[in-house]
Amino acid sequence: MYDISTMKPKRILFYALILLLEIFFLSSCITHHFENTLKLDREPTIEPDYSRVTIPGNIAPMNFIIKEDGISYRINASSSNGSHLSLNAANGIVRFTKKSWLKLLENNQGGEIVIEVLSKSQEKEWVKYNPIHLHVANEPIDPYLCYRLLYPGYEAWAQISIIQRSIEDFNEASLIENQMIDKNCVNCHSFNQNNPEKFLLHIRGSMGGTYFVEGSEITRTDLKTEEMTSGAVYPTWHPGGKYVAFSSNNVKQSFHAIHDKNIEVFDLASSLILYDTRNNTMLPVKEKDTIKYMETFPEWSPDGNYLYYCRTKQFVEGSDFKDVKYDLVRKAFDQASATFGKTELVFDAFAIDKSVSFPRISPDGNYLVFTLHDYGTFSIWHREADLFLLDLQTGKIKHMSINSDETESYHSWSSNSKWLVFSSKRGDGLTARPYFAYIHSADSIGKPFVLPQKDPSLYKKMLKTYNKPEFVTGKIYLGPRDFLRAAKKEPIKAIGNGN
Amino acid sequence: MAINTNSMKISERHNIYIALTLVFVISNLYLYWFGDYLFFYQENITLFVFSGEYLHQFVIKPGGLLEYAGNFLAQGYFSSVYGSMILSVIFTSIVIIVNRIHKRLSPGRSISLFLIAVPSCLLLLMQLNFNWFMWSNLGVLFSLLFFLFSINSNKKSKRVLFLALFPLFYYFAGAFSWIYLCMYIVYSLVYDKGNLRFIYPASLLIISGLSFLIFKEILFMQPVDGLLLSPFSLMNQFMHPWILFVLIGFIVAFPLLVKFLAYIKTKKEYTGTISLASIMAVFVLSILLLSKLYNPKIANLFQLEKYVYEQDWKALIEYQETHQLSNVVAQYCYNLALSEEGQLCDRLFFSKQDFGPRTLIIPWNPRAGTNNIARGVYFYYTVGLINEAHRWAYESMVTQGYRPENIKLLIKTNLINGHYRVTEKYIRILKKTLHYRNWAKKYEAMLYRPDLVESDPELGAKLKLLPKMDYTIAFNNPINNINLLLKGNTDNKKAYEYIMAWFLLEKNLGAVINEADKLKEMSYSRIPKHIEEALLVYRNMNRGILPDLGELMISEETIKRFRQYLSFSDPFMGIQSSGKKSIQESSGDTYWYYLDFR
Repeated sequence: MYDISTMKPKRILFYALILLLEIFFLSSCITHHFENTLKLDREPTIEPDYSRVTIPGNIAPMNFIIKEDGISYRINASSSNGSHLSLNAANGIVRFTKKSWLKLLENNQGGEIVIEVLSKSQEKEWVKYNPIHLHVANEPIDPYLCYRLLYPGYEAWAQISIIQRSIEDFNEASLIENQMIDKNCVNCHSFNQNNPEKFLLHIRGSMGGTYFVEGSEITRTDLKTEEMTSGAVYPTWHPGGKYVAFSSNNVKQSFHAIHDKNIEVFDLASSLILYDTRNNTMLPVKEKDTIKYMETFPEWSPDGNYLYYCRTKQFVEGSDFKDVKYDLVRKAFDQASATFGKTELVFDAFAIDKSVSFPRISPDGNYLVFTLHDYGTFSIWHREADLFLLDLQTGKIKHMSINSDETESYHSWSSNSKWLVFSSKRGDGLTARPYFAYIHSADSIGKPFVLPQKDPSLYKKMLKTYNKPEFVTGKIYLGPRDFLRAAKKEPIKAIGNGN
Repeated sequence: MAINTNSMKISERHNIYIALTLVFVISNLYLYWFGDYLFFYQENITLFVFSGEYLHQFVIKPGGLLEYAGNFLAQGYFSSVYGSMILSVIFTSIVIIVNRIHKRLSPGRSISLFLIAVPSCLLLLMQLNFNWFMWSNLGVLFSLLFFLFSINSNKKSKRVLFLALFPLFYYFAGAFSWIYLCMYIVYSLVYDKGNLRFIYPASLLIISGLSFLIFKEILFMQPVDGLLLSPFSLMNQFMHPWILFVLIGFIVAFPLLVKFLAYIKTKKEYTGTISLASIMAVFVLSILLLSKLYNPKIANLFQLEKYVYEQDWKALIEYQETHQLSNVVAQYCYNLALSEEGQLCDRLFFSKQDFGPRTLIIPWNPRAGTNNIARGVYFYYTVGLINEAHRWAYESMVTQGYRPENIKLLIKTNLINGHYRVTEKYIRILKKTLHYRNWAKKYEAMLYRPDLVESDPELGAKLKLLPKMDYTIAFNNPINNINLLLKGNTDNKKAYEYIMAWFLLEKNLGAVINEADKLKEMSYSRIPKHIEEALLVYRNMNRGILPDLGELMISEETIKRFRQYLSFSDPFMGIQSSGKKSIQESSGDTYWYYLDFR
């Protein structure tokens, strides 16, 4: 019909282009045939390890890297809700789009996501592994995580920021950047019942003070009164929001000479104080015992009737800090009169030659999770530090299954009491990462997983540490410029009460 | 007449070529012969990493990209040939740009031609300030270039276009854009006509003010001083800040100077000669200032630090013994080299020791200047207190950012401590650099291979020095840290010799004698020379009594020299000043001389 020799070159080029495009589109529609694959009776190694973890239905795409030899990879993911997706990962880096990931999670509470990984060997042979299962919990996780990002340094610091990161996607925003505030140190962000509109944080340095946030208002206060020998350090909000209990700590640090330890942070003295936010007064929390104690890490019970904290006998200058062991105790609190009762021993850690840090109670009041380590108060530098769960109904204490050989330390609860976020150094032994664990019951705790990142290799590269991860129920609509404006105002001085 | 004009044009062109050639040749020769220390210092103060994370640090602030570009070019500073060549090219380019500006401002002949060489000569002088970095040179270059583009046309549309581009230029060049802004205002006031002379400057001021506000309130999380001054180096970092004032003042006033000089009338036939003479005067003055302001002490000091970084201990010892620098850092480096070579108590006094034990250990003080942290680390690494060396290297990385030395030390200390997963992160950084990639690969092979770490000559030797018992580091009592190190590892001869050197430098003879009996337990085959000298002083004062040294004997050579030393002095009259010189010549390298005369 057509004689190609008579066709104009332009036309030949046009048809050739059409033909090439057809080939391209058709080839992309061809499905891969994996009938002749080599099947390995094991799961593939992926990083981060998301195998058999329990995840919330509102988690960000759980991107990962396939750590198996191969020249290309294929992923088939399916969900209990009937959704399927397939994607190729030439370099082994698996990145889900938000849309496709949401399809897998949609209406999948209580179900699971199954991820099948295939790798193509140098010999062009496909290798199939056992599928990876991810369980989807019934309960969602709080949508935001707030943490301090800094180098896990010794004495000097440079960049410190407090970040709010969406757990549902990869968006993150700075709450504070310390380069905006004269490179001051920022720390101890603490929320009242995970509320993004009611929290506080400390700034140390030329713009120092405790900054209280109420909605869009930031108030700079100076909580150190004449009666206090040290400043207010570790805070805990009373559920009613009227009070904040702090420990006032005289903190020292020293550095170890041998290779398996780095830093020792310890208190020379510490005591509890109660700040009344309504009238800006600071009250001492008196210990009626004749023995002098050091008290730290206060934590209110969700009903506001008890203040839990860690306590040990006063450190004697010159004695070995390895002999300092904190017990877990509590005091009854009368909310009407703002007075405390006697101290009760909750967990005698000294008796087992251990020390307690960071008691945190679930908002439903059922559990208390604390860190247990060999001695002292600053568990983040103790490799042996592990998390323990105290069932407040039965009084039973359990070593949690979520621990690793490296440090597990700071932790906090989601507002629905179903998720625990904790700092773990299991990645490299030096930098802490936020891990999430599903707490179904004391005996049923999901395998933890690290906060997903857009770039799944981020943790391998990152030298900074995630410090004090806290769940927040919504976005915080404040930023570094707001804190800078507040920092320029004179602090409101707290009124002491020597009684 | 036409021939005359042509010949004047040719003469002007010749003068420009002469200026270009002189800038290129003088800067190249000066920087190649005398700028080695500058390149060493600047190459080691930054570490250019080919990664998105590294770039990210720079895109988040105005002036960051200029800094990034400067660091990119400075990565080749490990070669003086490259360093001198790249800077010469930049200075020559600046002459070309300034010449174009000059032509635009003064289209006819003018005696002001010599002005085109001044900025480059001042920039060459600025290199005497070792904290004047590559990006500062680029900042000046781009400010002049942007100014040239801004005034290259009288068309309103082009003038407005460049005014509109100012925010971008501000983002790129940071504080250097203020130089442009001032120059532009001067130009407009002097050269524009009618209301335009006020409209353009006012528009630029409004645009720059708005840019600043948008940068501050919306775009960048930077402090106000960062937005205004970054990446400009602080004046207090310069040894000769006046050069910078002259440079900025000159550039800003350049349009005015050209205009002013245009009013000076000379005979046409002399214009070329006057221009040439004034160009030559600029260069002569520059060379005179270079020779007057050049400080060989700084060059010597950086040379010693270079040997430390290269671990060329023998060269370092030889250099200090030749130059006898009276600088605490120089003497600290010398003592490090002696310890690394196992000669601390044999050669300590072969160099000046002007500061007592301060030349052995730099005390920890994070507020005393960050360079102290970068330098202090080596003592701990040398003596085998690897955890503390790691701490100092880490503090250096946190406060000073990535530097080749702090990352290298973090790799070595983590490998020694067996912290392989963290080491991988530091290796990953160095593998993304131009100059340290191969170095990193060497250590990458040791990851998760303690056998390879142990068999490495350097790391293996450090492993043997490690403390075997735990203790906490005492900031205020550094010698106690070494005592405890030795207590836990009695085979650590470096720790022992540092203790002895400390007491020798303290002139604490009693303590030297008390510690001397450890020699026999530490399998010394001979007594280190300076300890012998101390023992002889002690014996001389105590009628022949010596501590128990086992089978170790004081050498005949030292005894002979001691007798000779004593013969110079009268025990009742002391040493006469006439005899001091001869004593210094014969015994200046002994503990006795240090004891009596230092």
